[in-house]
Order: sequence, then C-alpha cells, then structure tokens
Amino acid sequence: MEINNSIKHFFKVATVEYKLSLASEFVYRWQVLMWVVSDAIQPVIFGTLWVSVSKSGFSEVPTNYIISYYFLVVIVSRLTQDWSIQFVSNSIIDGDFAKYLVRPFNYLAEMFGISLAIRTLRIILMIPLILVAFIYLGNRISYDLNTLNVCLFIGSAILGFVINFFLGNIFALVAFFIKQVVGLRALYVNLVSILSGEYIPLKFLSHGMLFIFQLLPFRYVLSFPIEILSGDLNLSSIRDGYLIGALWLAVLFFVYKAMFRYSIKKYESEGI
Amino acid sequence: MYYIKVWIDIVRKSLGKNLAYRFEFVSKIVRMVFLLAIQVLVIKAIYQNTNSIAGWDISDYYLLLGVYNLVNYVSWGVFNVNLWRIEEKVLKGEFDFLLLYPTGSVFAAAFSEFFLDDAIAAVSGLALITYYFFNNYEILTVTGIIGGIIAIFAAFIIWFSLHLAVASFNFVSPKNGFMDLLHSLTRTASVPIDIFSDITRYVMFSLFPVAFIAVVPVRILTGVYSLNFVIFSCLIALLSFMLSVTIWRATIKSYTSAGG
Repeated sequence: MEINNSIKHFFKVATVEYKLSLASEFVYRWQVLMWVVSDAIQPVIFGTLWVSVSKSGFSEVPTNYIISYYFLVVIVSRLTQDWSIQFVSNSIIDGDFAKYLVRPFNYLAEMFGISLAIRTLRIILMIPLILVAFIYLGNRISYDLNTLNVCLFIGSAILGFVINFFLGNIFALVAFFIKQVVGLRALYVNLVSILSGEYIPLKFLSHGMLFIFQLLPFRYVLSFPIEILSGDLNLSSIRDGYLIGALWLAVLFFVYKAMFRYSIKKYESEGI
Repeated sequence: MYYIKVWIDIVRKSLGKNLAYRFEFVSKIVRMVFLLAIQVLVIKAIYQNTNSIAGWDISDYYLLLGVYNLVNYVSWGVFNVNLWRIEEKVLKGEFDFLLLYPTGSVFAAAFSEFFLDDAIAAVSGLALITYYFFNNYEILTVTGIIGGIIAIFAAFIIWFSLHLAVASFNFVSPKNGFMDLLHSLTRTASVPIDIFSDITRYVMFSLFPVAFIAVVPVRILTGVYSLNFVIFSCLIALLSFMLSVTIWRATIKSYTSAGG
C-alpha cells in the first residue's frame, strides 16, 4: 500500500514537472529545433561512413541494413536519451541541490518529468524531419514490422530510457565528491555512445567484443531496440535481452539507492 | 606584435587558472586518451574487411583524424570556448566589458581566455600524425610537408571564421542553437569527404568549406592534391575571415546590452 502511494506520488510530481518544463521548453523552440537537427547529424555521418564500407566490399553488411540501422538510431536515441545528468550535477555543483532535500518529494520525480518534457518537444520537432528522410530513403529502409515486434520494440525503448535514467543519475552523484565534472561528463557521454552501438553497430564487432558489449547495460540504451525492429534477434534472444536488461535495471536501482545514501552524507551545499 | 603580446599575457594568466583545477585537467587528459582509443577502435572496425574506403586507406584515415583532432582541439583551447560563451555574456549583459577593451571586439570576444585542458587533447592529433609520418615517411616530400603545414594554418583561420560568423548571430537572437548545429556539421571534416555525394562535396569545398579543415591538408601532405590547393586554402581562409568579420560588424550593431 505504502509502495503504491509512493509510486502514485512520484508520477503525480513527475506529471506536474512535465507540464511546467514543456511550457518552458516551448519558449526556446527554435533552439530546440537546432538541437534536434544537430543530434541527427552524427548518425548521418556514421551511417554514410558504414554505407561506404559496405560498398567497398564488406558484403556481410548490406547497405540497406546500415541505412535502416542509422535511421532508427536517430529515432531511438531521442526515445531513450536522458538529460538529468546535467541538471543534477549542475545543481550539486551550484549548491542548489539542498532545496531538493527539504521538498516533500524525491528529486528523481522532477528529473523524470523534465526528461520527458524535453523528449516530447524534441520528438514533435523531429517528426517532420523523419518523414522527409523516410520519403527520401524510401525502399532502402526495411524493418521486421509485425505487431509483436513493434510491441517488443516499444517495451525495449521504455526499458532503455529507464536504464539510461538511472545510469545518468548514478553518474551525476559523482558531483558530490568531485566538483570538476565537465571533463568526466563528456567522457561518460562518449563512453555511452561507443558502448551503445552508435559509432559501431554491435553486429560488426568481433565475437569476443560483442559478448562483452551485450552484457553491459549500454546496449539497452540504443542497440537492443534497434536489433528487435531490424529482425536481428529471434524470440529467445529477445527474451534473454529483456532478462539481462531487467536485471541491470534492478542492479542500477539498488546501486543508485546505496550511492545516494552514501553521497548525501558528504553534501555540504557549498556552491562554486 | 601588440596582439601577440596581449595574447601571451592572457595565456599566462589562463594557465594559472587552469592548473588550479587539477582534477578537471587530469580528467580531460584521460578523456583525450579514451577518445583516441575510440577513434582507433572505430577505424579498425571500419577497415577490418577492406583496404580502402572511397579511396582512403587506413593510414590516410589516421592522418585525417590526426589533423582534425589537432585543428579541433587547439581551436577549442584558443577561441572556441570564448565564442560559445558569447551567448551567456550577451544574456547577462556582461558583453559590454569586452567592448571596452582596447583590442577590438573580435579579439576581446574570441581570445579573452586560453583553455589548456581543452587544447591538451590536440596531443592525440599529434600522436596520430607522428604515427603516420613514421610509417609513411618515404612517400612524403618537403614541398608536400610545407604545403600541408600552410594548409593547416589556413584550416585554423577557416575554423575560426565559421565559428565567429555563427557566434555573431547571438547579438541578433540569443539562444538560437546555431553554435550546436555548427559543432555537429564540422564533424563532417573528420571523415573522408569522398563518402558523401557530389553535391555535398561541392558544398564542403565552397559554401561551407569544411573540406579545408582536414581533408585538403592531408591530401596536400600525401601528394594527392597539387600545391595549387595550398593557394586555394589560403584564398578560402582569407575570404571566410573577411566575410565573418563583416557579419560580426553587421550583427554587433544589434547588441543592446539588456542583460538579465
């Protein structure tokens, strides 16, 4: 009963924060539009590069597969991206985090709402670009679209977002110990990009590296949803992926709780 | 000479400030090593089943990334961060102080601070270039090397001009997102541009000259492009610099020092 009330309270706060943040995001919608276009450029660059690899004789990698993969990278990365790492670490560094300690709700509810609001606007602004790209690329894109796959894809995208949310918030807690986090934050973003399959589709890795990447939580942030919709995985592989993803989610949840309990004792609310 | 003396003083002061944040400095060095490892991993994955991508072999790609890293990170250390911060200064009304400097608004805005922790990542570029030189010194010529070095200097000017022109739009409309867009678009300079379509390559050699950031210097160094491209690089650098300063002067008239 208590857990139910806590969850209801969490989502109630997140909903209010979502509405407030969405209104705030709309004020600078042109800047957000530029950000949406900017975020799409890197997948286009890597997609074009891998298409060239395919045309250079790497016949195991059909060109259409690469185009379909990177088309989905643009979409899935928006669905699973989380922004709380910047907000939380900045508020800790500025000394602002103290306000969350006296509020009658967990700051994660606010971060969750903010993250969803930013995502909503970016997805809205991205839709026309995606439609234009889809029309342009036309028959070069192909997915294994059936009801089951689409449902599994949506589920995996939600799982990926929640995993990314916890990963980001765990990393943000580093700011309690180290105030100079700009370099570390950039390092974290690059780490996620490589391990999630944005730079190199995991399919192109050697068996040994693929095994390691598949065990890490970052695969679920980007590659796993794409692999489902691309038809790369059979049902038992999808089931295994969901199990590992769910296990990581549980691990990250407990790691976050333990780290927060330890970190908050160090906090002195000093701003720099 | 005056501007060089002023800049050397700025660098001295900035070094003291940068080294006070030792952990940040060390974490950026770690990030540089990690980024270099990622770049090498990506290149090895790309070339695992082929010897050439759009006419570029693996050692050419290392050299391309080396030149790109060198131009990119030195630029971040010398002027990019300052140009990014123009938006914040305009919004807070702090840009007025820069207009009072005796060095002129462009110098004051672009070179007000030096960021060693960003510039240090250029070592990754030097490492890749040195690796190329050791493995391919027999194909290099003195004229090619000199031409390549001149083209790299031209690349710095082109990079600066692009960022100055885009940053100046903050006077007209702050929070426009153009710098983020430019940051993403300049990443196209880190890949062999021959992978793009003819129209895209035409644009990259003309209207948006990112081909001159890394591809042209590398092709001059390796002797693929003739030394005429050194003259083209210098011309493009001069034209882009003049255009960017014109845009700056036109847009700064819109600055109203509102602040807050």
